[in-house]
Amino acid sequence: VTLRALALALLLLSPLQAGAARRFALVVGNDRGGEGTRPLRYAEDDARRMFDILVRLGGVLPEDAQLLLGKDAPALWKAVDRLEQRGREAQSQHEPAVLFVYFSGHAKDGALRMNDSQAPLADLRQRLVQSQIEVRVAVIDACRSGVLVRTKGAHLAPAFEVDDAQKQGAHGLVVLTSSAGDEDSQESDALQGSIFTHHLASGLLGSADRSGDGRVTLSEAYAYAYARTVAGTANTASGVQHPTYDYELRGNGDLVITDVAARTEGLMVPGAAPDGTYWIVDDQGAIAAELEKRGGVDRRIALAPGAYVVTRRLSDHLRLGQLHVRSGALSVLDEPTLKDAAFADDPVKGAVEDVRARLTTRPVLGVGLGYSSFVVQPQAGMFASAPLLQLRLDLDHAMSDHFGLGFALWFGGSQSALAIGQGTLPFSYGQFGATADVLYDVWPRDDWRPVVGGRMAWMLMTRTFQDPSLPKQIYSTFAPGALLGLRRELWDHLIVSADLVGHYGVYTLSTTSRSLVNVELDLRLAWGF
Amino acid sequence: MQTGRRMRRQALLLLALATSGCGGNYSNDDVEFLVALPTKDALTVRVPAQSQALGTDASFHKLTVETAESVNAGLAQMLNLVDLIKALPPTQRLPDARLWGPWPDDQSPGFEVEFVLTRETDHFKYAFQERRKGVGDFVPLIEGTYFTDTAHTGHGTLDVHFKAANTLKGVTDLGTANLLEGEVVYVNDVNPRSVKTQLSSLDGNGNPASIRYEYLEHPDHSGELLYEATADFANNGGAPEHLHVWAQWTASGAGRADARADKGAFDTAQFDRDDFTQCWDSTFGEVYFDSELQKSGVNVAPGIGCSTDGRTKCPVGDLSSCVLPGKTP
Repeated sequence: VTLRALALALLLLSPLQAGAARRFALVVGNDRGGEGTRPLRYAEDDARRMFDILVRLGGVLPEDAQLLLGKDAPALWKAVDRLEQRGREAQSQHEPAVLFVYFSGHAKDGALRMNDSQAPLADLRQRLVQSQIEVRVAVIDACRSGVLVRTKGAHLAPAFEVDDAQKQGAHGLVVLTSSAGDEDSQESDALQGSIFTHHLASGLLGSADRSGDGRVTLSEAYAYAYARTVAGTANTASGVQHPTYDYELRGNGDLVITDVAARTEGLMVPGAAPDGTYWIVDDQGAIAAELEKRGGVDRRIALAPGAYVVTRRLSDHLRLGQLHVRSGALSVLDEPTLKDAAFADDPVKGAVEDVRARLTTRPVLGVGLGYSSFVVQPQAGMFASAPLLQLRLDLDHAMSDHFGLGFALWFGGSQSALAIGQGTLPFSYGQFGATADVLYDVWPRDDWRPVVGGRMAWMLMTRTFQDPSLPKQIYSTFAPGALLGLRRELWDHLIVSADLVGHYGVYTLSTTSRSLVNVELDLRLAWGF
Repeated sequence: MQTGRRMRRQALLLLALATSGCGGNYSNDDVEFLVALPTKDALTVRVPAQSQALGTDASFHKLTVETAESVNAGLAQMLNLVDLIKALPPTQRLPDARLWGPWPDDQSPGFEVEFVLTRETDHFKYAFQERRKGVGDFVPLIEGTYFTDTAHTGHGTLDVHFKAANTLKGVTDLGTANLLEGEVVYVNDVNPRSVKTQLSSLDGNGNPASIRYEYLEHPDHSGELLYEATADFANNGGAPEHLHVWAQWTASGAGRADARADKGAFDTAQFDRDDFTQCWDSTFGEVYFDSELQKSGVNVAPGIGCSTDGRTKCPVGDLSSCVLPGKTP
């Protein structure tokens, strides 16, 4: 199905207005994804936020909404069953029904991860496809959640176009996911939430109301979230994140998700206010909404009652002010009351141009055993193979999600012998070293993490002959090297690692230099802090 | 363009620096050369002895121990020089040679020394050489050879040219120790292991003098030391005396010495030599002693010695208590 065909199909459809049907919402958030995943920071906060928006603005009655935080997969299926049952009951009383399912958390290997349990995405999709509720909308904010729509044709594109000329009821399923099937979904400390949910929520509050009718439809929310998520992740270390959508709607229309105009309380940015992007920051320091103001149109943001800071960025300074949204009252932004401020005072500093990935620097301290062998050496038998003991400190994600640093010290030794004529000279061989590595974590969020890297090593080799009349030999060299590694997180902190390393050095004796190639295999147990 | 080339050069320089090694002091070849140099193990004379000599030790055993210590002390001076060389990486490496130096001779200002170690077809040879700084050829003061097929054993020679050293440095006042030549031959690749040393010199009267040591070490740790000297021991300006001692011992330390003093003061009308035999047990205490003044092999004065000191020249003990069969040196 092409985008154009989709647009044409949806052109005939009308929005299902909030309140026109009985709405049910299952909102799920889980910071923990069990083995092989690292706890998220904001998944449950995202869920709370979406739950609040759906209940406050989305026409979902509190008794028809269920918020699951930190629960296992069985609780998800039980809640789906319950809301399905309630939806069918509503439909039996001739009330059209809409079911929203929102999930924020880990997804991996085709399943939502909920603590140590899993909910296969295929099963979820099957449940939604087979649901008898007329309209089902699933929003999945999780890594590689695009898998959910992959088999049905994921669309990495701006939103479908809709028109509200038709008043037919909708039937079918819409699935929105935060990222494509091969992408990570990112959280942002600056936004205090996942990037996709932040923009989706901001859009649902009114930022996405492109038509200016005070209602935010599914297509508007998606278009807004798509554009902002792609833009906001374009420069992140984890790479750009493309939300996807899939639909199976028959005779359907676009869906009004939130009715901003229905709420009297909130913020209005009048058409006379200067164009530009306004950030509204709540009293917790989180960005409650972003508003792109264009073209002299009044824009409303359905903010919950509370104190906020409004900021608008200019090229060389900020405009900054405070406002208070009172219950049942619409606050109107009076832009001239904003004060000039320096960028240093920006409460949303970092949220715009530097959306950080969810991975922060993680020290990993490990001890390991290795085996070193010189495959190319100046003279046969000069440097012996030897087992090594290694102490290593990794700073995973020190430079970005993918790039980290590693430092290691090692020592080891063996007994060997130098052939002289028909005899041998036994010697004790010693090897010491120190390295600094720059490592690229190929899949920094996965259980199995391949790592490649470059290193600079300082190597010291010694030979102490059994014959005390022969002098001790000491040789040291700086040797650049390359590393291929694999990391596997066994539990939350315990990591097992294997590295294969090659070093190249030069053996210089008087004026003669010869190549020195060393290969090392290391196995480590490490503790990640 | 120039900037690009400069940056590439800088990058190459950095890479070269990054990969440059340091402390590369010995190659396998170096070690093979060093193995050719004599070691303490190869040159040491080992005579069983108590950690502290007791007054009751048999006199010839004491003399043998002191002689061995004297030989070892002399050889140690040369070994110290060798150790000094071994501790330093070669100054120059050639395919079949290593060269250390030249360096200024701290003991002799204005002179410089070098050490050359050369690999020949079937052996190594080396020389410690000296010359006036920058003047003429180097003069070998110590020369050696070493033949080996294995890393541990071989045989070699070591010649010390005392006369050449004195000549080079213009030393004329040599006092009473006017050494001319020293020669060491050592074998540790066949049994018995041996160290043979000979020194020739002039005594205080300008007469030729020599001293010879022959040490044999058997696989069962028994051994022999023969030492022989010709010099004016009587210091009477006459013909030099000749002393010859052959000491043998078992692994337990018990042994015997057969000695002869002749010539010089020992060559008289009544006798022409004095023969001694002494045996000692594993505690080094004397178990047999006999001394005979002889003329042409006949004991001409039995008992004469007994009257001189009452003991040392009188037969003591039973010859059968000697653990080694009597041998004629």
